[in-house]
Amino acid sequence: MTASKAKALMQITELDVSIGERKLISELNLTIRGGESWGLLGKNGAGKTTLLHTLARLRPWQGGGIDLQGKPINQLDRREVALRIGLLFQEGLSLVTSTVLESAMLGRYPHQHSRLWDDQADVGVVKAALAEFKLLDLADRRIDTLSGGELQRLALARLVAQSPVLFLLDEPSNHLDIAHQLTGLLALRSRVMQDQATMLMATHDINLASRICDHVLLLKEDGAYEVGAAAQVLTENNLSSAYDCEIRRIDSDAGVFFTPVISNPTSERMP
Amino acid sequence: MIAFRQILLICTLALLAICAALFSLLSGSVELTLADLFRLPSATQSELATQIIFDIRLPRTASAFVVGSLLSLAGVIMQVLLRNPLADPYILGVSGGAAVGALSAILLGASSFWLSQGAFFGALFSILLVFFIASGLGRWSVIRLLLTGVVVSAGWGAVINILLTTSTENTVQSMLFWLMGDLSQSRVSPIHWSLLLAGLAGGLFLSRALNVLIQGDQQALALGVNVSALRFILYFAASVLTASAVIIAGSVGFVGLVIPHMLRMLGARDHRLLIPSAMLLGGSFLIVADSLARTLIAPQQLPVGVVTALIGVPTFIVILRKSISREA
Repeated sequence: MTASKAKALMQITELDVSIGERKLISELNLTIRGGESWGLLGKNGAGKTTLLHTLARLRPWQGGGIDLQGKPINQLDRREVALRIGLLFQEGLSLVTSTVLESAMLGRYPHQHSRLWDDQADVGVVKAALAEFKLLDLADRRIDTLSGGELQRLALARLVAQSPVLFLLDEPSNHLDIAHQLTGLLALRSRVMQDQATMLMATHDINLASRICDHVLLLKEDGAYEVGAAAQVLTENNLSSAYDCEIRRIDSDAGVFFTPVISNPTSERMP
Repeated sequence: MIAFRQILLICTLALLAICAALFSLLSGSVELTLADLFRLPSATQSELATQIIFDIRLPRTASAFVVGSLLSLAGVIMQVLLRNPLADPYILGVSGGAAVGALSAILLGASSFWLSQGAFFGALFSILLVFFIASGLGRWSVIRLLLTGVVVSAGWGAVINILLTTSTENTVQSMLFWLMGDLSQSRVSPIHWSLLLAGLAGGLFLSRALNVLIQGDQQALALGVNVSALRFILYFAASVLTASAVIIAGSVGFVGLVIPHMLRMLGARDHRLLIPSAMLLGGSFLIVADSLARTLIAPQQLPVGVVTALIGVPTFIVILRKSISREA
């Protein structure tokens, strides 16, 4: 018990998050450890993005605490947080004119903020990250000529170049085709696992979460939530109540799948 | 490879600055040649040539370089701070405040010392006014800062018009020269050169943070930039640089707007490269513009601000067309 507690990467206690009057998260208790892969599920407006931004210290929260490697996160310097936590934004990269390589280099900012010249080591890390997402050939391309999927892979490569210990991913499968969704995210996961880092991925894709993630945090109405091992949380009952829609589990030889069924469109389930 | 191209650009611009300075030293009503210039310190040179070079042309060339450099650096910073490509050093009202101070001094018939004091206090007042209005109402955002600056600037414009319409013909002439930017009376001191160097050093130190900030506030926060502190520093840095330039030479237009864009078009998007390049090119540009200003319709002189606009407007249109066609 003490051994696993010492390895806690992020400890969330009694966390309350609201936007205006609306309570999104209420008394959330969660321990995230190195080497874990978390899915963050919940219907539109449940607070997935807000929670990710809160954990990355981009916005204030209303109660409780967040400890990063044993220290309250709001007592850390912003750069110290950026050395440990990387955030993939849902809206992707901004299209400020630059090349693929220049854009990916920005991920190294927390490591080199006051150095004027790029270290060979930094360039090496960035090129390796680009290679992981098959972007090395595009290194000198202007980013406004990339496709949506290439841009998303670039955003993932920049995040890997940042080398945080906690990867917060907001809809990482956005703009990726069905093959890249799986290969890209599996590549990212193996990279994360290899470094004993952790990923927490907000997604609408239950099936992707069930294939990639070993733990799931499922947000429900009024700040309620389910948390635990993926197999325990991803049940027909939990999902149906969280999404306000009947969701059925289908077991096939290719794995477990979840799909919504509309038996009676007017029926409303209460959580 | 990239580093080589960057060094090449800086060296080219440095060479350009030297050529611009020589052009400026050699142009004027008294004909001098390059050979005269190199023989200058010797006793064979006429007293007059020495005087013309050291007392008239060299100080003026130096002022032009310093003012152009300061304005270009301020322009780069303002465009990042306001995340607006049309931002120039004057957009937040610094020059308006300085102009009201300077024009009041002219109106009162004060000496040139009081003129620059007036400009200094006017600029300082405007910087603080905009800052407190923009921040006093709570969190200061880019859009609030921009709107406050533009509104205050418009207010100064009204005051300037009152001063112009109520003045006598004689004073209006010197007011107009001041408003359009004029280097004939300006002298730079070691203080201005130190400010220039401090601006360069500070700019280079913050250049990586600027590269990140331009990606957007959220992205910058996530990469560890303390966005509100950085904005605060940028606002005051750009204001001080602009105020200094305006105090030396009045409101010389277009340098701070056009030079950063020109260099971005040439591929200097990284602020580690953009900042030194903009300072060199801005300085050279203003040296050349000032040389033309005093020779084009000699013996009469044009305000240098007119020449920068005459060169700046078509250049800007060409750049704009180029960037639009590239996007298409």
